[in-house]
Amino acid sequence: MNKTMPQPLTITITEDAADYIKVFSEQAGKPGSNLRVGVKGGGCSGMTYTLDLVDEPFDDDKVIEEHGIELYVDRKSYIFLAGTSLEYSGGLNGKGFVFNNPNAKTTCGCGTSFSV
Amino acid sequence: MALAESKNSRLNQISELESATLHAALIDRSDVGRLRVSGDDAADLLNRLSTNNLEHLTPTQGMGTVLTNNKGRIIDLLSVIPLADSLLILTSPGRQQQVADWIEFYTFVEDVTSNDITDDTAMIAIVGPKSAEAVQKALGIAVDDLELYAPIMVDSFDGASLVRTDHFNLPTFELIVSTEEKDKAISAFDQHDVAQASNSTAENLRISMAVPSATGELTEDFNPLEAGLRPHISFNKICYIGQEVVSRLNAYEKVQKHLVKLEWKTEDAVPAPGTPLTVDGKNVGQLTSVGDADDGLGYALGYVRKANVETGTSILAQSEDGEVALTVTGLSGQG
Repeated sequence: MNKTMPQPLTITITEDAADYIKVFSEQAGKPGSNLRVGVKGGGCSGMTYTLDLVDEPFDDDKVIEEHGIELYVDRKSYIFLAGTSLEYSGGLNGKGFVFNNPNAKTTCGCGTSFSV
Repeated sequence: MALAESKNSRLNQISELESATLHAALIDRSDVGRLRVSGDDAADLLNRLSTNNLEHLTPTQGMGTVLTNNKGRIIDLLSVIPLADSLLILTSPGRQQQVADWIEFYTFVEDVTSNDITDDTAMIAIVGPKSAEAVQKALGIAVDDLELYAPIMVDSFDGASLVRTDHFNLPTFELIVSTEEKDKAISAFDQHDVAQASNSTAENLRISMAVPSATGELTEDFNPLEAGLRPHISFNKICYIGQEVVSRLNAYEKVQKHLVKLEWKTEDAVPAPGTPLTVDGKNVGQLTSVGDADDGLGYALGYVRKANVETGTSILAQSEDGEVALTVTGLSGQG
């Protein structure tokens, strides 16, 4: 019987999202920036996502590297983001960055906040 | 003998209630929760968690706000008062830990720290139309023009502050002093004939003035619009927890029930909080607080369906001793 060990939950970023961050950071005059991802209290459902271009992580951040981008996540936000895929939906009908978060039980009407 | 004592107690209560509604009375409100919330992000975080626009907080001007859950239901009604280096948060009695836990849960990387100072301090309310005069005499401070939630320091007590909250829907000044100086503070008012009202008088005053409380009205069963807390809600601020529900209820006029003031004749049976209310045999709500005020009239609060909240509406409550007829006398939160 071939048993597979469960994979630890992490945060992933799609190649499209990573590519867009590279383009966006250059347009913002911050080429080579990485991404701080987090959660903060507020928004209709209780928590909202945060995204910031930064150079370095804080001391206690978890650091995840994928597609040439480093994601920095503070420990508490990580609890609510574990398993999340950060995606990018571009074009006229696109939604921009989308957090596909398996921990989110409900989201508000505009989709920017969630509850767990 | 017991009857005579009961009558004397009743007369005292009526006298105390008259002091508060016609003159000034002192009410010990030390059971109100007090949190000192500090940090650069304190106001910003509270603004994201509650209904009022705390962007309008200034170093000298606070406000009331409602902590709501993501269903728009009431966690607690807070008074947010700016102090020199922090915010003083007044919660409902016994709710301070729940509020502190709520704030901590939603604190991620923000600079916010809560300290419970309830047991280290006392809070004394001076209530009534002549409360400003009483404060002037006892503390030597002119407070006639003091705005709501705008604190001032009280030099005659170490580290004490005074804030006007009008908590009882009457002019109400709250003096917050260290527990060591509580007796001295009460004595300062006693010397100017401002008598201390009993807890039962305070509760009757609350109910007769339609002030919602955590014991019945400010719970997760109800939303702030139902509870008459509209003055503490901003409809043009940034998102906060529960905003989508509260805004939709307001915009589409979907509030289904309202907190109302009720009166009944005290010679009738006494209804209990939680008693269902009916009109023409149909359930229209429930009693949440019941007092036993003066002049043969009893006062109560209850949530009633919006079709039955007009002043003068007759509503029945079923008590153990029989049916009690109550009359709606107005909405809470509208004077």
